[in-house]
Amino acid sequence: MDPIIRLANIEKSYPFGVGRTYVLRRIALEIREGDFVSIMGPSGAGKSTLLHILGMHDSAWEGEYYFLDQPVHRLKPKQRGELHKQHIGFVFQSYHLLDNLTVYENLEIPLSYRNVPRKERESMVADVLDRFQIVGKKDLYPSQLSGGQQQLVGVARAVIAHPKIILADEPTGNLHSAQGREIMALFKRLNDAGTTIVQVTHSEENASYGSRVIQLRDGWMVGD
Amino acid sequence: MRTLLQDLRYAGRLFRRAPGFALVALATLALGIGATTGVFSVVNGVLLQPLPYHDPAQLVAVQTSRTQARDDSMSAPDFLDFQARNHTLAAMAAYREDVFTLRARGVPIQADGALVTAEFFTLFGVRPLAGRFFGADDAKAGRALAVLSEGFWQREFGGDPGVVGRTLQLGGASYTVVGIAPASFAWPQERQIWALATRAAPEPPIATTEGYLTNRGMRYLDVVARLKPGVAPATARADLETIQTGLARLDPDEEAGRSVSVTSLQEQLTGDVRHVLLVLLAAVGVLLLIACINVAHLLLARATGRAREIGIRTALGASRTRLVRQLITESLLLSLAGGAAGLLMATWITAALVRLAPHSLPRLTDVHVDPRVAAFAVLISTATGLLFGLVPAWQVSKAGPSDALRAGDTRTGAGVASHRTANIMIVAQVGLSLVLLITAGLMGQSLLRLVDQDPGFHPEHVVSAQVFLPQTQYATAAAQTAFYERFLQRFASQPGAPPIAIAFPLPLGSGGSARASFQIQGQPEPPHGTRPVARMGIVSPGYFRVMGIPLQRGRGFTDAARDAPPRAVVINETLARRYFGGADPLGAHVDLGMGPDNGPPEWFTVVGVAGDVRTGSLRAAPEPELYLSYREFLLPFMTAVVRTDRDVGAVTSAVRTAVAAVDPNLPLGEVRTMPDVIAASVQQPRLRALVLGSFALLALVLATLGIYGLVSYSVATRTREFGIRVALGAAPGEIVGLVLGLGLKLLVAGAAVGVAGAWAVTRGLSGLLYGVTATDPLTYAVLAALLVAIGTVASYIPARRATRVDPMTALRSE
Amino acid sequence: MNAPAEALIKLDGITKVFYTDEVETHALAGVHLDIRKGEYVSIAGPSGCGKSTLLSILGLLDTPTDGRYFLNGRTVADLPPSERARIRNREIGFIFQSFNLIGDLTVFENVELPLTYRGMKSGERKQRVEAALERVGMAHRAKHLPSQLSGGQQQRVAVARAVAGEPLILLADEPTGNLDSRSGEAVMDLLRELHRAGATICMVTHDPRYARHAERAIHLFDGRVVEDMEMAVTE
Repeated sequence: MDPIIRLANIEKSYPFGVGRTYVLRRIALEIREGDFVSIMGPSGAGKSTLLHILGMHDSAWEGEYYFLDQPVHRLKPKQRGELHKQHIGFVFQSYHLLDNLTVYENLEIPLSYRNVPRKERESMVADVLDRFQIVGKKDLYPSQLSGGQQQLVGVARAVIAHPKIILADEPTGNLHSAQGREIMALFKRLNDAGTTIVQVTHSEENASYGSRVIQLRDGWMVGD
Repeated sequence: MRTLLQDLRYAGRLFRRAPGFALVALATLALGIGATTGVFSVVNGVLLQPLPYHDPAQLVAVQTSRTQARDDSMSAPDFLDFQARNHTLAAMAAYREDVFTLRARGVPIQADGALVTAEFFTLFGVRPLAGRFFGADDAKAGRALAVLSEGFWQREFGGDPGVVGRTLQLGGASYTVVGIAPASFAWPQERQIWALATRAAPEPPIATTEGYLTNRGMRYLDVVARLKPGVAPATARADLETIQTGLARLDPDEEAGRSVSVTSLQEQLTGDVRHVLLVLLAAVGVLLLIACINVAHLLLARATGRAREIGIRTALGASRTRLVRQLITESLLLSLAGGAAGLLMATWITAALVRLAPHSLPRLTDVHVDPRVAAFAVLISTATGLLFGLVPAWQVSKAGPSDALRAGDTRTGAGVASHRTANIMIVAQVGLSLVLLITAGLMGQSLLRLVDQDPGFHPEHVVSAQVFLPQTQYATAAAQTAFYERFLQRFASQPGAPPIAIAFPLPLGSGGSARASFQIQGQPEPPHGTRPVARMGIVSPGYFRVMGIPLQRGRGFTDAARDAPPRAVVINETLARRYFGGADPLGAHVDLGMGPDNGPPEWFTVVGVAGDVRTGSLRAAPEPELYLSYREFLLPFMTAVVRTDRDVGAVTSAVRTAVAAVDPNLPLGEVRTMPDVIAASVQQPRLRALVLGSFALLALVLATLGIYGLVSYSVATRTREFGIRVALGAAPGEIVGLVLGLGLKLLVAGAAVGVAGAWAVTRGLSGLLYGVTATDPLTYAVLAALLVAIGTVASYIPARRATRVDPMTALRSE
Repeated sequence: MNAPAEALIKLDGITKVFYTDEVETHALAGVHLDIRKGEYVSIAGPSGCGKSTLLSILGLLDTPTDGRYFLNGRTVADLPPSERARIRNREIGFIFQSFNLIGDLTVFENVELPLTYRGMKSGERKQRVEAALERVGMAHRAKHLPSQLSGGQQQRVAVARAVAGEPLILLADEPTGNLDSRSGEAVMDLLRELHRAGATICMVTHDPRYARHAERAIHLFDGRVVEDMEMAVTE
C-alpha cells in the first residue's frame, strides 16, 4: 500500500548564538493508510514540532515531505492549505474550541471553510453529533462543558470533514484517566473504520491503543 | 452571500459576548464622528458654503476709512461719486439699517429694516418669492416702495399674497409693498423690511438741516457692489482708490488720508467669527484624531487576545482571504454601527450648536448636517477600523498558526512592536487631550474674569427698554426732544414711579455707538483731521443715578431747559486723565465741532467727571467718553433705563403706558434687564468656553478610555510576567504599583507633550483670552495634574485585575 | 544523606475541585503527604493526574478546596494574599518547566527580583545574587538577557533565582521538560548538588530517568497518592 506520508531527512532548527539549535534531526518516516502511530519521547524531544510539521501548520523546516505523493516541500502555501484542508484533522491537548461559538458552530466551521453547501453541512453536523452522542450539547458554549466533553467535540470537529488522517497532540493531556480512556477508545474505533491516526503522547497506556510507536529523543528518531 | 451572513452572525455574537469592548468602541466612534460632523457642519454652513446669491464670488463690500479711526461707513456724496466714476463695478448699491414702526394686527410694532438704493436687489441677483423688487425707474419716479422678508410676511400677514400691492404705514409714511424676498435672502442680516430710498441715496439717521447728498462728513452708509466679470477685488480697489485721490483733492478736510477697501461679501460677513470657528474646527479635528487612536487601540488590544482564535481557524483550514473577510466584516459592522450612532449624534450636536450660538453668528439658517462631512467622518473612522481590525490576521500570517496556538510560550517580536505603537498612540492621545483641556481651561477662565469685570455701573435692578422714534414722523430734533421730554414727564407722573432716564448708547447693548472729535480750550490746536476722538453718551438728567455710575467730581445734568452758553458736558475719568493730565478739568471749555463747518467753536463747560464705564464691551478698557444732555444733541434711538425692584412685566407696562400717552402709534422696542444685556454681551466667549469645554471633556473621556484600554491590554499580554512575579513573592501592592507605574509613565510623557503642544497652540489664541495669559502656569499645572490623576485612576482598575492573575494558568506551559 | 528531621510540609486531606457550568472536576481527591526537611521527593503520574495542581498548592499559588496544609509547623491554608506572598517570597523557590525568566530583565536582575521584594539592601542583594550565579556557573552571563541564553543556561539562571533567597523548599515543575537530554542532565546534577548541600526539593516529572534522582518517589493518579516509596539513590 502506498504511504500517506513519507518524510526524508526532515530537519528543523533555530539560529542560536553563532550556531543553531536543532529541534529535529534527519527524520525519515513513512506512515501508511490505516496506521495508528504514537510519537513518544521525553519533553523537549521534538514530538509536537514533528506533529505540526505533519499538519502543515509549520513550514519552516528542511527536507522532503510527501503527502499522498505530493511533494509538500515544493508546494506553495496555498496548495499546502488545500491539501491540509482536504485530508487532515487536528486534535489539540487544550481542545482549542472557539469560545464564542456553540458546539454546533464549532463543528460547522471546518465545513464552511471547505465550502460545503449548507444542506450537506447540516446533515454532516447532525450525523457527527449523533455519532459522538453530543446532540444534547449542540447549543452549549465550550465553557459550559467539562474537559472530556470539550475534547469529544474537538475530535468530532477533526473528523467531521472526513479527513484521511487525524493528528492529535497529547489529546488526553488535560483529561482525567477515565475521560482519557474514552477519547482513546474513540480513536481506536475511528482507526478501525479506516482513518489513519498519529498521536503525540507521554503515556504508554495511550500508546497501547496504537499499532506503532515512534521514539524521539533530542530531535533524533531513536525507535520505530 | 451565505458566508457573509454567517460572518455577520459571528461578528454580532462576538460583540454581544464582549459588550464592554463593543460599547466603548461604539461610543468612541459615535462621539468622534458626531462631534466632527456637527462642528464641521456649522463651519461649513457659516464659512465655507458660498452665499446663496447669483455668482457670489463677485459680490464685495466697499469701505473707506482712516487707519486710526473706526469710521468705515460712507457718506452719500462719496457713494454717488464712486458709483458714477468707477470702471470696474457692474453695479453698486448703498443701504442703511433702520428700525421701522408700523401697526400690524392692530398693535404698533417695531421691525428691523433697511433703506436701500434701487440697484440693491438686482445687484444680488435673487428672484422675489412674490411680486417684484425695486427698479431704476421706481427711484427716478420717487415712488415709496417696500419689500418684506418671507418670515415677516408669514408671521405678520399669514403669508397672504394679497399683501403685495397693499400700502403700509412705516413710521407714519405710506409705502407700497411690491414684493416678498425669499427666506434665503438675508442682507443685511435679520432684516424684515427693505424700503426704497426716495432720493439717490438713503437719508441719514439723524435729522439734519444740511443737504445730506452733499455733506461728505456725514458717514452712515454701507455699500455693496458687484464686480464686472473677470475683475478681481484688488483691481476694483485700485480703480476706486484713484477716485478717492480725486476726492481728497476736492475736500482735503474730510477725504485726505482715507483708503478704500474692497472685501468679498463672504469674508465681510464672517470675518468676526472666522477665527473662533476655525479654533473649534481644529479642536474637533483633534477630537476625531483621538477617537481614531482609541478605536485603533481597542482593536489592537483585542488582536492580541484573538491570535489564538485565528490560529485555530487557520489550523481548521481557513484560507487567508477567508480570515481577512471575516475580520473585515467585524470591523465594518462596528464602524457602520458607530457611524450610524455618530450621525445621530451629529444631528443633535448641530442642533445644540445652532441653539447655543449667538444670533449674531451669521448664516445660522444655512447650517444643516452636511452629507459630505458626515461621509468624510464615517470614512475616516471606518478606514481606521479596517486597518487595525486586520492586525490579528497580519500577526498570525507572520508568525504562523503553530506559534499562535502555543501563544504564551514565546515572546513574539510583533507583540513588542505593537506595544510600542500603542504606547506612542497613548502618549499622543493624552497630549492632544491636554491641549484641548488647557485651551478650554483658558477660555473658561477668560469668561469668568470677563463676567467678574466691574462694568462701571450697577446693573442689578435696572431694566432697559428701547424707545425709538420714526424719523418720518419726528423729522426735527425739536420734535424728537419734545417727545422724550413728555415721555419722561408722563412716566414720572405715575404714582410710585421709579427713577427713570434715557440714554444713547446703552452700555454693553448692541445698538451702535456715537463718537465725537473734540478740542480743549487753551490747548494747542492739532493739525486738521487729527483732533482727539471720544465716545459720546447722550443722556437725560438722573442717568448717572439710575445706572449707579459714580460722579467723581462736580455734578451731573440738571432738569433745567437748554442752558444758555456755556453749555454743560460731563467727561469720564479716562478722558480727564488722558487729556487734562494733572490739571483740574472742572470749568474747562471743550469744543465738540457741533457748530457749522469753519464757524467759530461752540464751547461746552465741563461740569462733572463720571466714573469709567465699559460702554462697548466688558473686554475693552474704557475709552475717553463725553456725556451730553439729550437736550443738547439727540439721536432718535434712545433707550429708557429704570431702577426698580419691580418685575420686568410691571416696568414694561409702565413704560408702555407712558409712551402710548404721548404717541399711541409708537411701539416699544426690546425690553431687557441690564444683567441680561451684560450676559448677551459675553455670549461669544461663553459659547467658546462651553463648546471647547465640552470637547475637552469628551477628549478627557476618550483619553481615559484609551489609558484604561492600553493598561488592560498590557496587563493581558504580561499575564505571564505577573504570574512569575507573584510566584516569586511579589505582594499585590507591588503588582499594582508596577502597572500604575506603566500608566503613570505614559501619562506623564503625554502630559509633557500636551503642555508643550498647548504652549505652542494657545499663543495663537491670545486674542480670545481675557485676564489670563496663554501660558498661565497655574492652568497648565492644574489641568495636567487633573489629567494624570484621572488617568491613574483609570489604570488602577486593570492594575487590580493584574493582582488576580492566576499564576498557575499563567505559568503552565503546554 | 541527611537524617530525617521534623515534617517541613504536612498535607492533610487536600482536595481541589474545579467547577464549570455543568460539571465539577476533582483535580485532587484527598492528598495526605509529609515532606521532611532535607528530602528530595519526586512526584510522578500521567498527564491530568493532578501533579501541577498539587505543586501550585504546595507553592501557595493556589488554595485547596478542602484540607489542611502545614508549612514548617504553621497552617497556611487561609492566610491573606499579602502574607501568602511573603511566604512564597521567603520560604519557597520555584523552578518551572519553561524557565519563566522575565525577558526584559537581565540575568542578574532576574535573580535579584525575589530579593527586591523583601526590601533587602542592594549591597546584600548583590552579594547573594553573585553567590547564587556562581553556584550554578552562570556568573559570567550576569549582564545578558534571557534571550541570549540557551534553554539549559536559562534553567540554571532560574535555579539560581530559586536558591538566592535561601528558601525552605525548592519546588520544581518538570525542570527538564523543555531541555534536551544533555542540558537536562546538567540541571538534574545541579539539583542533586543542592540537595547534598541540604536543600529540600520537591520535583514533578514524568520522566522516569529523572525521578530516579530523588530519594523518594510519589505516584499520583486521578488526584490521589497511589504510591509513595523511598528509593535507593543511584549514583
